[in-house]
Amino acid sequence: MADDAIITSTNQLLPDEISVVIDGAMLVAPDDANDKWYYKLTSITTTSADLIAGSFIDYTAVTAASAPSAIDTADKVKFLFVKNESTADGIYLVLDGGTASNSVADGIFIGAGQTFVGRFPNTTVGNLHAIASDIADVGDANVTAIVAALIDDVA
Amino acid sequence: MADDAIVSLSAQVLPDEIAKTIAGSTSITPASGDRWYYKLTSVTNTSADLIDDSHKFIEYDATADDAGLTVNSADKIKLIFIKNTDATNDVYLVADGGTASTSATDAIKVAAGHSWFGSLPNTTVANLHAVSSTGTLACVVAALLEDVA
Repeated sequence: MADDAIITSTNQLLPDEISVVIDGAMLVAPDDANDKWYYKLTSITTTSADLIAGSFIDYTAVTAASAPSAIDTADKVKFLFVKNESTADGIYLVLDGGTASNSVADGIFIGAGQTFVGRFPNTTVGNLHAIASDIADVGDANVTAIVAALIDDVA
Repeated sequence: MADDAIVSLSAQVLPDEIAKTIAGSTSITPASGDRWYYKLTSVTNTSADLIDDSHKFIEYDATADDAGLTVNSADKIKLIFIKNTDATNDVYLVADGGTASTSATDAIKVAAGHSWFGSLPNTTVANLHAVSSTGTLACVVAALLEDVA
């Protein structure tokens, strides 16, 4: 399909004596013209805030004078890619609109230099929050992350 | 390091005209007290714990016969890997103890034939729930758990 997100992975798991490598995959195809791509090299601060904001990358032709479509906080995150480019600090994400922190019970942690992908078909842009943080302590500094997402433009 | 979880991935993102493939990885080294779990797991259409808290860990310290430790509902999930082996039906996860469903606002979707990994260092075994979109399906579930209880 056109404009897909395509993830392939190798996953080394279990103790060394019985360590196994399992192949993994994820393919997310846009359902229709309302599923649109987003990209931003993002500065994530030590204060919880929306991870995604700004405009879509149009892949249907628009005139040069046309402004790109703006993302709404009600739009939904069908696919998310985050690569943490920091060498020292991590990132916590939450999906439910709560405050992202190092102690939040349902936080997803992305360590320094690490990459995360996921599908959150019901999570709105307004509910996806991020904070720069260590795994068990507050963050020391802002983190730069590559953020790409396939978003359902519902609003 | 010994007994690490190592995920290496390649992600093609963005529209075809400017599609970009980005390599990435995640690795987690067990700390003292972290233990591996594995189970080929039936996920049903009723929300339930994804990780069995009556199951024994896979020991990687030598132990006497029948002396293995058991997963506790309060243990924490430093890494979860799930591979949905079903050809048709999807799996939905929630990490906050709520009811997993296809409409949960914070649901993580693992589609048919797809895999997913994540580090959820504050999520307890009892708070990671799973449900299938339809029927009962088999998932490969491996986890590196912090044996806190």
